[in-house]
Amino acid sequence: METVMLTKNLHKTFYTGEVPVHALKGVNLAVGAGEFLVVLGPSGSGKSTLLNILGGMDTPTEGEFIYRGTPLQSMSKYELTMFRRKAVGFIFQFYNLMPNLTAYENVALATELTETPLDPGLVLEEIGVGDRQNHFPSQLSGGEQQRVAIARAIAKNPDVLLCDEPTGALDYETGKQVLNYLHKINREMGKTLIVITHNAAIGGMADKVIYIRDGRIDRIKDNPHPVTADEVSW
Amino acid sequence: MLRRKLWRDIKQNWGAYLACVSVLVIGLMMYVSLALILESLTDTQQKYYREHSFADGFAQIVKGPAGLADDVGKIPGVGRAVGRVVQNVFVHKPKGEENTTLRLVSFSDQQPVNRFRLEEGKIPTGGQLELLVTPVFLKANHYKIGDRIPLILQGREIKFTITGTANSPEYTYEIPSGQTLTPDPKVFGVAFIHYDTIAPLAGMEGQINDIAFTLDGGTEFAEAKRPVNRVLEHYGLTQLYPRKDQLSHSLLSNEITQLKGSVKTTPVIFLLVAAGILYIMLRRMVEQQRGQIGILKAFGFKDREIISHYLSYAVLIGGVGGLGGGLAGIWLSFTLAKMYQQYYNLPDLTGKVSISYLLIGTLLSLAFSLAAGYQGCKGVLSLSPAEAMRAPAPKTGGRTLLERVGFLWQILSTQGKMAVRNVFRSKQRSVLAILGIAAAFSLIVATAASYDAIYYLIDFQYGRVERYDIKVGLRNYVDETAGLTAAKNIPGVAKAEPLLEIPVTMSNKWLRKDLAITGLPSGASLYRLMTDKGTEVVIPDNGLVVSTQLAKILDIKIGEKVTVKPLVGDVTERQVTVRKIVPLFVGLGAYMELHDLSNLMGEPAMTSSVLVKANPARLPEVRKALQEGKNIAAIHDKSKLKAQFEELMESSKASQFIFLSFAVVMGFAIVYNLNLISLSEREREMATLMVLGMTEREIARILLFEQGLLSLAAVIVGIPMSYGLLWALINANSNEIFNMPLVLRTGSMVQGLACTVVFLLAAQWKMKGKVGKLSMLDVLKQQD
Repeated sequence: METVMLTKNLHKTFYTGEVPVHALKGVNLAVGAGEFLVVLGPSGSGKSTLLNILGGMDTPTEGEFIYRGTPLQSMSKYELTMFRRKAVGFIFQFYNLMPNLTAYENVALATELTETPLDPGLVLEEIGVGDRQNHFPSQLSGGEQQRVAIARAIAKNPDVLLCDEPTGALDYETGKQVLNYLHKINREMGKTLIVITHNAAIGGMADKVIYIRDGRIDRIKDNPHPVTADEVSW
Repeated sequence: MLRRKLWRDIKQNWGAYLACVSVLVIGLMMYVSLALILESLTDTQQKYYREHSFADGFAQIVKGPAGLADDVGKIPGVGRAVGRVVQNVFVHKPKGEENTTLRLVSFSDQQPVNRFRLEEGKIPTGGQLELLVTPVFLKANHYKIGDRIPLILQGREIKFTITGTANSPEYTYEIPSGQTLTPDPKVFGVAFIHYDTIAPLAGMEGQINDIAFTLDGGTEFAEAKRPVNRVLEHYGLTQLYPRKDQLSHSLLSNEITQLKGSVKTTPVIFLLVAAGILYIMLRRMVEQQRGQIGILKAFGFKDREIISHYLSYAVLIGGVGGLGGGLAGIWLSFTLAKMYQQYYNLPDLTGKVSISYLLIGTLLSLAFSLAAGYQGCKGVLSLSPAEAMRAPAPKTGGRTLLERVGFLWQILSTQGKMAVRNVFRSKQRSVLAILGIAAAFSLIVATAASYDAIYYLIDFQYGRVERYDIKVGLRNYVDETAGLTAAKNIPGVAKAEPLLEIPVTMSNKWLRKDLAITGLPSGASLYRLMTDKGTEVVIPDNGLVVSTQLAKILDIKIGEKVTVKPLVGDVTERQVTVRKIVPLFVGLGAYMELHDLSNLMGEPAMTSSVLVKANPARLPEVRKALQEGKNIAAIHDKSKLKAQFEELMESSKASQFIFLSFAVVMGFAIVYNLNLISLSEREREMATLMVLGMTEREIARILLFEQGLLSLAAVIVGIPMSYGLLWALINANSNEIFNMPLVLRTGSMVQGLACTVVFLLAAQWKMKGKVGKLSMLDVLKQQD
């Protein structure tokens, strides 16, 4: 399997105030193309920091981050922006849709940024909110908003989808629905999917589960028989 | 502890606070400096008049015995009177140099009225060839005390020693006549000379030609006018007028009146804008800090305490702005005083250090800030603690009016659509932004255009109405043919035409007005009477043409007869029919055919001036010849008047520039603040866009597009606002004499637009930096 993302001895130290906080203390990770990866860890374990670096939103203090053979750790702000633009799609806990754009326009906004976008209407249709296209975020439920956010992320046609607690703000049933869609995207479209969460149950759906504790990878569990969202519960 | 919160909040957003404070500072600086200079001008004027017994009435006669002054002094109601010899003479200069006229004003040892103020040197002795000149004249012509100055008197060159310098309340604005716009001490000056010296040299021994008198308290000039007139009418009374019509006094007073207007208007614009910015800022802060307010309330802080915390921002801004503006205003008042002294001979005029204005300024600033601040943060009151800690109701997006225009909406990119909806989303703020930018824009345009009307008037008057090169003012009325022949005989003169000006009292029913009737020969080409629209007015026979303004003052209708009493010569009043009423730029105009006007005086044809058009190449030659001519009182060189005027306009460019910069700073402050607020409200959106992979430049472009939309609307609103402001400005400058046209040149509009673009881009540029500093990570982690 081709390696999409590779980190070598990744360190990240924050200086908030006078005490340095070591969020990452040497992370070595390889992500294969088309893999579904779940990163599990308690609050403050460093999992969000890792995701931010993988998504080009932050740079490591030390170590290497290589995306398809290109080192990114010393890239300029502009180059990182271009990386975010072309290679990754983000999905957040709190959707972060543009409140004054309709569902369709939110997706279209993202497609204006890339050269090989998917059709916003089709993607929304595919993800089950096709009939809500002309609604504004304030007229949509949380689950619908998160689906629009997913549509926005994949419509750019990125290589990797990064999800930060994608079900964190949703109720149980809606959360499962959203996971189903993510799973579908991974299986059917072949997108690499990295989900960070503290919900251990989601790990059952992944190809690989990374346990993070105190800024280090505690262990990696391969999951030869991933299940669907319908089969997990928490 | 809350105080600490205040400091930290301000530190975080110092740019916005600074912008707000700077607008306040500008507003108060203008208020305080204008108010101080106004007070200083008024005080200096009054003190000067009082200490030097400035006259209440003035009279000019052709010639009369020196005892006439005593006769005038004996009239009941008249205080003291002084008789003088006043005569314009040329300074002798080598060939080719420009004319310098010196007005010799006589004084006696015991001068009761219009005393001069000795600035330097010693007072000339009677009988000696000595005189005093004004300090400005001395400096401009590079003379020193003790120098000898050659004057041409009665055709002879006589050298006088300058023994010192002096100023007089009669010549605070040192110009020869109302036709001159600004003092030019190289061309005209005033000198004080002992009566015993000048009288014999001017052939006026025991004679006078000018009387100035004071009035007893409680006596109006109108009451004294008739008896004074009776005493002087047999001596060729040419002019009799009250202090309010005295040239220097009326110009200085006019300036004071205008200042009074400016003090009340301009600063208020800036204060209102600052208040608007503060309002938005505090409102935004209260909204942003709802959670904190909830916690404070839950702790048990009273509403009053929380409100006073938020008001303390307003107090701080108002206080700093007021104090800063007050101090800057005091400083500026000294600079303004220096500026005034370039035009007015008011040696005592200075700026002022005034604690009371500092206090008034600060209080004013505090009042505006507190009012705006309270409006901005009164929302705190209605919040219950639990409600406050909850997030505000989610922002709703919605369709806008523009979307109905299908094709327009379709061509917009999604980013463009976002910008348009943003503009419509916060309507109140957009309206404020539009008004704010429009205010700055119209202030800039009106400032840039403030002289457009004057330029237009000058071009009109000197280019189309007055087409001569030189107007030669004669000492007496002379026979028309004689005057013209003399002028035409000068080599180089291409054309000469007579012009007769007679001072009269014109009355209709109980209304009356002193003015001059101008007599023009039929078919005149060097002076063509024109309406304000530029159509030539043909002067009818046997009747008057009067301006609309004069018709209004005297309530005259076409075909009615008015009573005309010439103030010169021994002529009784006559009835003259008004044949035409026309709108003119120069207000108090009344015109007649030259021969008809002469008839009114009982003469066949006379002239008081000769208008001369010279062969362009020989103009200097003609000028020189005229200068040597006898019986010439004044030479008005049109090109020089025009040049002088243009120089004046150039010199006012500096203050125009300062004003423009103020307006640009104000515009910047408004836009920058609104942008900051807009950004802080939308940090989350901006961060999301960055995560999506938009570059800073692309995000800034969205903001720029929004700003562009608002600015476009602002300019559309601003154009009529500019005209309105300009109209107000012009109306403040219009008076009986000038009826200013509303002129806004394209250049001024372009200048306004350019300045607007400058402050918009400057604000935008500052914003781009702010966008770059946004942390995607922090922002996106929070719940909306």
